[in-house]
Amino acid sequence: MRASQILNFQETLVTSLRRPWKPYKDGTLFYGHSKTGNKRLPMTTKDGNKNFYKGTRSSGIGKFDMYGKYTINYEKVRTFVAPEDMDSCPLKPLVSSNTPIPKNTFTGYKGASDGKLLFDKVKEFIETGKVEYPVNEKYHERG
Amino acid sequence: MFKQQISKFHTSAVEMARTTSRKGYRLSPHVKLRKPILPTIDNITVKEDHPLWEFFSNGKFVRTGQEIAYTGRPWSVQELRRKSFEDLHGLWYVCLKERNRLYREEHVYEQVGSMRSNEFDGLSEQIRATMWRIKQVLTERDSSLLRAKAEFKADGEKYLQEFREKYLQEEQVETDEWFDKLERIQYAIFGIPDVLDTNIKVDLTFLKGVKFIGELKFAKFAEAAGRSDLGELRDIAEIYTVFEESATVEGVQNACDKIDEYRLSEITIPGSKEIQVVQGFIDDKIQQAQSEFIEEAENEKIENKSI
Amino acid sequence: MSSLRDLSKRYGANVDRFPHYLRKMFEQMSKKSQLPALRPDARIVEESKRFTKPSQWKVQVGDRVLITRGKLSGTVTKVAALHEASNRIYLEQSETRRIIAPQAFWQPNQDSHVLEYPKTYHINDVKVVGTIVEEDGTERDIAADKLVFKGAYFDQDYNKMMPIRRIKYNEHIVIPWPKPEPVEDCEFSTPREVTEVRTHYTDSIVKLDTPEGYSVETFRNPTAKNWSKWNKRYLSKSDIKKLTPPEMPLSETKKAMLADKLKIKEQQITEMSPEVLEFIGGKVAQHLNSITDPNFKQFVDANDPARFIAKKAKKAEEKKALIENNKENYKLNEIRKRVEQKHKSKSVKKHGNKIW
Repeated sequence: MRASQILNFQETLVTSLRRPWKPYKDGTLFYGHSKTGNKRLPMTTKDGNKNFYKGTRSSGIGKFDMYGKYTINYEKVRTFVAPEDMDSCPLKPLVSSNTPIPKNTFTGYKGASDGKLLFDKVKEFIETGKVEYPVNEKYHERG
Repeated sequence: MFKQQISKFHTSAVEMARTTSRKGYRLSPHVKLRKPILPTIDNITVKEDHPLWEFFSNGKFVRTGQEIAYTGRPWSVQELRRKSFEDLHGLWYVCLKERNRLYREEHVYEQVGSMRSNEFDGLSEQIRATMWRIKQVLTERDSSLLRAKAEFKADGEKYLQEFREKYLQEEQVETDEWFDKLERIQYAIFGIPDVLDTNIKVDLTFLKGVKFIGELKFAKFAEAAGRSDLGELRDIAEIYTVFEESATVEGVQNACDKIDEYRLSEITIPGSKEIQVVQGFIDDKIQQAQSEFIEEAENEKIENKSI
Repeated sequence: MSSLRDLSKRYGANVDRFPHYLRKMFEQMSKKSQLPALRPDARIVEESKRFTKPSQWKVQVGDRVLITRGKLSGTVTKVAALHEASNRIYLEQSETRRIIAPQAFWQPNQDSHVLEYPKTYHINDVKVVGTIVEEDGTERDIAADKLVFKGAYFDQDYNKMMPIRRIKYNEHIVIPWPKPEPVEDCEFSTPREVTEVRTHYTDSIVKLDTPEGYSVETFRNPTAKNWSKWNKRYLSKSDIKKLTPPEMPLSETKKAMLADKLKIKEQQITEMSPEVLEFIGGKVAQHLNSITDPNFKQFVDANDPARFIAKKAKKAEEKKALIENNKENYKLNEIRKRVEQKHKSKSVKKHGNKIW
């Protein structure tokens, strides 16, 4: 028997799909790194002993009184300050990929959060009004 | 307890409602009860402007993979540096809402074990990049302002002195260019807006600005107005009268006339009360403007009636 | 979001942390556990070593290339795609491998499990083909053996700075980058015109354009468990007192020794007295005046100090200017230090001393 015949036998549909060669006892295939699996998983609400309480970080904004009524402490309630007119915002979460990314230049300064840069910009504003930020042909923009 | 439950779901709820309850109350036979509404999805209608629709994209249950395919990239820090706080605030909430939608849909796909949830997570991560960059830009602006204030403490006096000298040496300063410059310097360095409103609270910076501008105008125009006999301005009330008037010879002349009247009373304001006094001046002026406005409005009403 | 995918990110083994030989083993294990059809034909490169620049890729999608390796060596095709995970490229006409795909991965119009799938190519297995125009106007294709990237320009099609691709040793021949297919804006992307509008101007050192009641602290969690980079830790005064050791007092013998040393230092003569100077000067002058050798006399005349006075004065002036300049710099530095110290002292008052 030639070796190629054995190889052909191995390449039948079922055998090539049943890889690796050792299935579980009940016949299901095992695709994974190890047989034992990862045991270090976080505890769920069902784990732990009788004292284990895993909350959902969803409350804690008030107290139950002696009658079982819940009173909310509004100082603890999260507030979201959204802009007044959301519909007029023309911006979207991403930018068109046809837009080149400009490069900011900070020559003479330490960086974007340099105090001297802001002071100099303000000086310029006092002299000339609104400061323009030209973009050159290499798409460098004044920081 | 058990009876109440029955009255909600049992088909004979109408009959049960008419029988005696625990409190011994009996429903009048004249009251007509309609049949109970079954809690099925067909019986539920949701308003179109319900706030929870924000969690759905165009009222769809879930989007397909094609609908969330994207070609864009996250906002870069350089691009966000161009945008005002208002824009960044809006963009943050646009991103947050979109991520909430994606999270919901991702959860739905995950429940049925679909690999599509990965695609939703991918887009969500892209939007997350935009969001952390917004925070980065805001932090940058905040720290640069803090450092600029420290810089001003060290070199600010020198700059103001230079500006003062330039202003005094200039021959013609009664031009729009110089009026604008004065307006800008008082806003940029001392935070004094050109139009005063009720929100204004006088603090040390504000006071410093009033002194700088008032003394500058007086030094420039006192001679031209022929009032060098006044000598130096004595206290904050005198400085404020000059500050209030326009940066012209006439303005300083008007202010000097008021100072003459003020000096007759022989009051001098101590340094500890300067803030209080300036706040009082501003409040008075705002009140005056408001009362004038109300008077005008009433006059108009009367005129309309007479017509 | 608690999902198994996120859990594996947090608790699963991070292969990048292992040494390279173990990493290889894990890679093989994970390869074994995959379906054969899904196994990549090339090794996946770790993320830090993946190509990001066009000068690393050397080709872009749409480039004409000459295959130099394998059965198809000698054929000219186009680059179909870049496979970023393995730093390799797909070609339009390439060798294929036979895979057995489960039905879930079938393409439309597929009716067999067996599928021919294109192989990837290494960058060194292809050569970029460019065209040059001869003097008589005819065009000729050339394959670049080696490439160099010198200079850069802003490419309107790619919308970024692209390096200029030249043939090595013939750098005047430039092979331009292929034109990429235009990308349409998706539903989530902001159009370019809107992105480029500037709405923020710096016009005050008193306040920003933020509304009342806003501060950066409002978007940070004050009760966060984990330290953040902006959450600086401070030492109180008493902490510093506890942490700094006391200075040891000097012993009597050491004090006596230091006093002796000081005394000896004071006794040392550091400057010559005018009498001594005159004495030495006189002796030297006497010797120089009594020289008889004409050659030596000429040498002495040439080195007459009177000739160097002008030069010396000039040098002294330069030195003076330098010292003044240094003084100015010193003053500037002092101002800078003062600004920094003031900034620091503010925080010290507020939170105690800072740990840098």
